[in-house]
Amino acid sequence: MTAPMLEISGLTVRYGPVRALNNISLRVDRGTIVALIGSNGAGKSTTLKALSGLLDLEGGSISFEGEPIERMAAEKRVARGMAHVPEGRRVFPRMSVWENLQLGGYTRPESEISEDLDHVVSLFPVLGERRRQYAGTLSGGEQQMLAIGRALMSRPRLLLMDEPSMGLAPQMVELILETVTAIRDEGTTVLLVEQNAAGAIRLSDYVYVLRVGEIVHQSKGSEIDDELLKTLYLGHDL
Amino acid sequence: MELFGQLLANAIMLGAIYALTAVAYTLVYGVVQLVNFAFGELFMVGAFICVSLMLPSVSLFGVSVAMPGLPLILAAPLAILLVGLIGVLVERFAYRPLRNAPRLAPLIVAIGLSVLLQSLAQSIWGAEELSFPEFGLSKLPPLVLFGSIHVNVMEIVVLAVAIVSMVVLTIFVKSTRLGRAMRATAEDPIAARLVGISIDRVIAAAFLIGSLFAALAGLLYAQAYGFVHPTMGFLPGLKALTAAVLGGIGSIPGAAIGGMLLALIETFGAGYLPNGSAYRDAFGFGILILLLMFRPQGLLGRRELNEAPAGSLVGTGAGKTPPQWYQAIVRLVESWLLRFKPGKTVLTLGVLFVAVAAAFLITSDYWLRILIFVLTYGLLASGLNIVVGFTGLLDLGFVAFWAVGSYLTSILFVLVLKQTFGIAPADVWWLFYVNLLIGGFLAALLGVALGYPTLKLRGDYLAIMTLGFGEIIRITATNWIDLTRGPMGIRGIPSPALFDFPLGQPRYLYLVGLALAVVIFACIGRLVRSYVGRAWVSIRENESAAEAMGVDTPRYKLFAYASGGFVGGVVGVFYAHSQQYVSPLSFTLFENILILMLIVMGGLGTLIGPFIGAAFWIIFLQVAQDIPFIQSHPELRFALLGLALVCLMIYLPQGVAARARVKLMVPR
Repeated sequence: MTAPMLEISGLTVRYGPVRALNNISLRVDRGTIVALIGSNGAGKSTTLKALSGLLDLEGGSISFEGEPIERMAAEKRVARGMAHVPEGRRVFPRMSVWENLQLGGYTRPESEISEDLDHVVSLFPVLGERRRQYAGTLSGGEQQMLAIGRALMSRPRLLLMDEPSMGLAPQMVELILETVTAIRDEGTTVLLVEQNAAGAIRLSDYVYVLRVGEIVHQSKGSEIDDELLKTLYLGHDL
Repeated sequence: MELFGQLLANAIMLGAIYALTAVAYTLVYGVVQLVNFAFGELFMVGAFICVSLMLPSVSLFGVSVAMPGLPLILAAPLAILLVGLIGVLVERFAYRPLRNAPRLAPLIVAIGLSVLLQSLAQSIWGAEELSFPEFGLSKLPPLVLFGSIHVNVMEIVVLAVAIVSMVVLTIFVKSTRLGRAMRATAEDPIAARLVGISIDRVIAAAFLIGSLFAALAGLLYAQAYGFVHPTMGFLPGLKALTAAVLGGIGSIPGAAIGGMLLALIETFGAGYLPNGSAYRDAFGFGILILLLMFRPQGLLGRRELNEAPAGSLVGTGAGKTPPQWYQAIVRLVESWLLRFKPGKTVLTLGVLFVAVAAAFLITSDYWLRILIFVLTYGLLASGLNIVVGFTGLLDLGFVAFWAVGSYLTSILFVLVLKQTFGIAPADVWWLFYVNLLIGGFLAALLGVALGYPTLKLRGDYLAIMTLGFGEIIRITATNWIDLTRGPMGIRGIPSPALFDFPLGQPRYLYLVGLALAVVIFACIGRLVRSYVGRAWVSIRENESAAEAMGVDTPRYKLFAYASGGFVGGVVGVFYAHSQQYVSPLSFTLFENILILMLIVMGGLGTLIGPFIGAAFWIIFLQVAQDIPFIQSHPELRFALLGLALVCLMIYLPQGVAARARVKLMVPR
């Protein structure tokens, strides 16, 4: 049996005196969408940052396709096949859409970049139309597409997505969430962080719920109803 | 017309060199938002290495060493590469540990590195200038254009080299993989890491390329003027930084335009204005100040580069964990300091008692004079500490206040009273005490005047602007000969006296200084513990938050400049009378840096820190004179100072007396 795409155990992260993640363990199987939901400050983004190497761990291990990566530099993790669509999109505003996408393929051989560009454009045709435009001049939804496209340019096997629907118009949210499914169907595993819990639960194969740095629930999405969600978000002891 | 053509030809060559150096500043600033002051020194090192490689033998540390005697065409690339390597090492060991530190920390490290490299070069190659060896092209007769303008072949080569290298760099940044990664890192380093860019490598590359450009500019400059000297990089480095800011720091075409513009202004100003050549260096700084006042982003720059470094300079976030043995020493010093903590009044009185007793127990005039120095520098550092340590404004023009006090009293006593009216100083002994106040207020006034235009500026730009003011005042003091006697200085300033009792002996001078120190120390102590001090510290910790909380930041910043200036002015008056001689050489940027280092050493934002730093340094200077190797290379002491500053910023940004940081009291 092959190792799961991603396995985290005992992950602990501190911001100074504050423990943001306390002994988190989770697992993402190949070819699935796993959602990580929870209220503000639950530690969702922190988990993704720790996974992509932007934060130092206090303890715990991260294994990617059976290989420990917790000490690997962020940029090496990209080359290894893990891409991160950061919160707030973070496109390079004063570079063209095309340059943004080319940078997404920074870890790839130059010769294969044009093929990957075609693939991203087929997913998001609007990026092809605006290739010469500065990324900073795109609309929020277009910037989100660019951020996803940029991450896909590194041909990841695991895509970490941080709040891709944040601040977008409702139709755009639908479109982005559909794209997440499309990406999964192409064979890329997705770990999705969302505040839009309903949307995230609907499209994912498995759901983890975080509250103040701990996992308080894990199950298939279909097993979570509104009542359960409320208790999970607000806590049992309230 | 002849003059015009000749000036134009000179300006273009000089502009090309400024532009090349400005590229170094602009490239590194663009990628990591750091003004690497040390590029001026890398410029100089490049020239020295190149000349050394071209000579058959060269004297290093006073020992003659055989050299290959390469032709320029081989020596230059080799020298440039070596400097590139130095630049990469500097980044790796001095800047990388501070990557996430508040922005003033790397800025201070940059200044320390500058001192380190310059003093090291002086120790290695000696303080004498080396002449640039002749080579094939330099021996060709100059070309004559339009019948009257003489242009050396090498001047054309310089221009061509500058154009070619800048075009190559532009193409590199625009369209190569690494160039694109550089731009991405400049825009958003975190996003850059997320697409797989190793920002360590990108930043190292920026330093490498910057150092290559600085070295290239340095050796071109050296061949043009025919000599190399350890301080040759200082002014061109500052000018290049000016050029980079002028063009808009972060922009490569901006560096080219800024360099040319600056060289044109300087050359034509020196050529056409009356007495212009004396004030040549002041033009550039004047332009810089006007520019920062009215268009801080430069010609092609972007506004957001004038941002405040968020987070306190003295915060615990800076630096990295030092090695074990080092921590042990710090703990030892701190526990020793802590032992005195209970009974602060007892401690203060005890220190005061020891200080007074020293005046009577120490019989050697030599050591008493050293103690006077400690007091003078400790006081100066206390003044600067108000601005830098308490308010968090990096002021590189502080020596101007010191100069104002010194010159005021010297001009009054010597040039006006004694030489013009023939009044003996003994008859007007009381004027010294009056001057202490007048000097203080005059300097405070200057502090407000110089502080006002800097109010809009934050962070690095503030440091650059204050530096410009300091240099302008020094240049004026050097060249306004009618007022200041120029570089000759003013002699025969009388010692202080009290009625008929002369206080000229070191013992009494020391006591006068001590009295001054007690008064100033107490005043600063009261001030920083009042609402004013709280306002200052709030500006230091987070200027935007302070503003949002209703602190009238411009007012308190000006108050800080005025208070710092006042102290500087008072000390200046005392200094003039205790030295009995003033000259512009006492008021250089180097002195300012030294004073800054004393504060950093002792502890920014502490009351006692400046004195501890001053005692450390001045006693070290004396003790080190007995070490044979340092006796023959006295500049090594300053190299050590630079090194100490860099290490302190990395390992102990809080200074030695960190635990003595003033606790701010909230009124009940």
